[in-house]
Amino acid sequence: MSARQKQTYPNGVDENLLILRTIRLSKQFWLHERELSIPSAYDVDLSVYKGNLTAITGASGAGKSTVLKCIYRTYLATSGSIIYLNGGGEWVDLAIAPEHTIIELRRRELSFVTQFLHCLPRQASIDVVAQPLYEQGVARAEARIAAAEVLTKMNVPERLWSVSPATFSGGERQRVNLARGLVTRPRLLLLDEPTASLDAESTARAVELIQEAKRSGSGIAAIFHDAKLIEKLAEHVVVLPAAQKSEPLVCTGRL
Amino acid sequence: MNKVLEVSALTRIYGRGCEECLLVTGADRATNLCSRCGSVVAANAASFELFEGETLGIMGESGSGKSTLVKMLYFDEQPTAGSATYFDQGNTYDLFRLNSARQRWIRNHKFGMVYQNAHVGLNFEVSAGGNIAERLLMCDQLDYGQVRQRARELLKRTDVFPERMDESPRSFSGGMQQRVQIARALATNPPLLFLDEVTTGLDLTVQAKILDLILEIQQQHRISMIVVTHDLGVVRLLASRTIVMKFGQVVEMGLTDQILEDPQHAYTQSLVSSAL
Repeated sequence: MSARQKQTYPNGVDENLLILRTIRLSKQFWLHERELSIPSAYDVDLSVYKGNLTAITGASGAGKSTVLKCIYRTYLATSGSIIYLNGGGEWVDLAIAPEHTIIELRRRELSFVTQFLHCLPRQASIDVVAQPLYEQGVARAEARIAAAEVLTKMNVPERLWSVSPATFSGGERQRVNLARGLVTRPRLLLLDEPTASLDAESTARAVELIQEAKRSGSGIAAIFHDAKLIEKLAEHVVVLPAAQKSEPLVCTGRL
Repeated sequence: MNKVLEVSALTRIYGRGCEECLLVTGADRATNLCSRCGSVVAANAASFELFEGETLGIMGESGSGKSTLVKMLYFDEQPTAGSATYFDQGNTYDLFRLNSARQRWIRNHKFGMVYQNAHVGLNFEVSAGGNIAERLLMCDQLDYGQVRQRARELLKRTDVFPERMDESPRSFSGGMQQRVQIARALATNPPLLFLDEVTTGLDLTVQAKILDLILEIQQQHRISMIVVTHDLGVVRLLASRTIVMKFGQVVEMGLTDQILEDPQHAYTQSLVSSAL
């Protein structure tokens, strides 16, 4: 247990608010061509509570992004469980749930703000932000109103709304990305360094939006490097130990 | 979620075939040629499901069997073995056990197909409008005025000038021919659409317009699609789930972002790592 990370709990955490828990989550990549196993995350236990933010920290290469990607199922966990309480009150193991369950959860209640925004170079920013609402079947006009509201809160000037984020600066793009992640008020929100390329003013706006998401009941798991932000936003902190590079890993292939 | 299609162990062998064909071919054997009887196994016991409103990508290199798979489902080719069940409005159709008249009915009313090569999908001896009308006529829409009106609407929607509807598609550019094919496929509002390498060989700008059109169709209708492509960008853009084929076999199946970012099979890993 000594090598495993610890999650610090404030006094009196209400276990009834638990919506996500990873249990001994591990991920290794097996590269066939080079017959090489690359360990990425090892035995990670973390919990996310409704209306709370769990910050994930640790050195580069400790597997922070990997943990988020496993939760979102962009990566397949090598071992361990990722139990999630869905909006219908049922526990689902995201590590092994059927693909259609994941697709439906992504559409309805799961949102992931990655470090880089992938979007079509010909899609207007307002549509990029409104897209998750379109996918939920919200009427276009209504979805755009909601998107405009978040973009305004995120301090993206209105003259940019009709332009693709592909032409934006890193900070502007990141604000669009965050707006897109928050527009649906997800039940579980995953944030991978959401303020990394933002200036002080934009960071303050982002913090306000994240606070608002918490007040509206979103449970959040977020990677932050800035200790001040963690102090301001996080109820729980998980520190991942640095990758154990020297330790040889037995390669058994993949199941 | 409603299932639209259930494909089970679908197999297509060119040649006389023998009991060992399926055993000595496939991804692990690195061949689709049966060493015993010399037959080519184009599809080797492929199984998958498709759900309502979903776009499934089928990815693989030339000769992996991906086109053969959709051609069988569209009744262009006969399977050697296996089954496919189509579900529609409470009815269940065992596709390869239907008689040919029923198969034609399903094909005309329920399925649409866009081929890589417009020569296959369109009749160049008749006009663009006529190609669309033909499909409507097969669905018993016989009023000349209405058929013409519908063809005009579809061409407009797919961005082909309706003024050119009386010209043969022969005089159209490659991108326009694909649009006429899409208009033709959509004519009867089919619940299931097959797209076989529809952007291959087109200029990038033309590709982008075709893909945007497909995205628009995806968002406006709850249409299910199977998109066959060797282009990683196309599956990333269109498909929520993807299956990967190699030497006739399905070697991997998963959420598209997982297939692209955490591929499991050796072949998928090499495919993803060869992306530009």
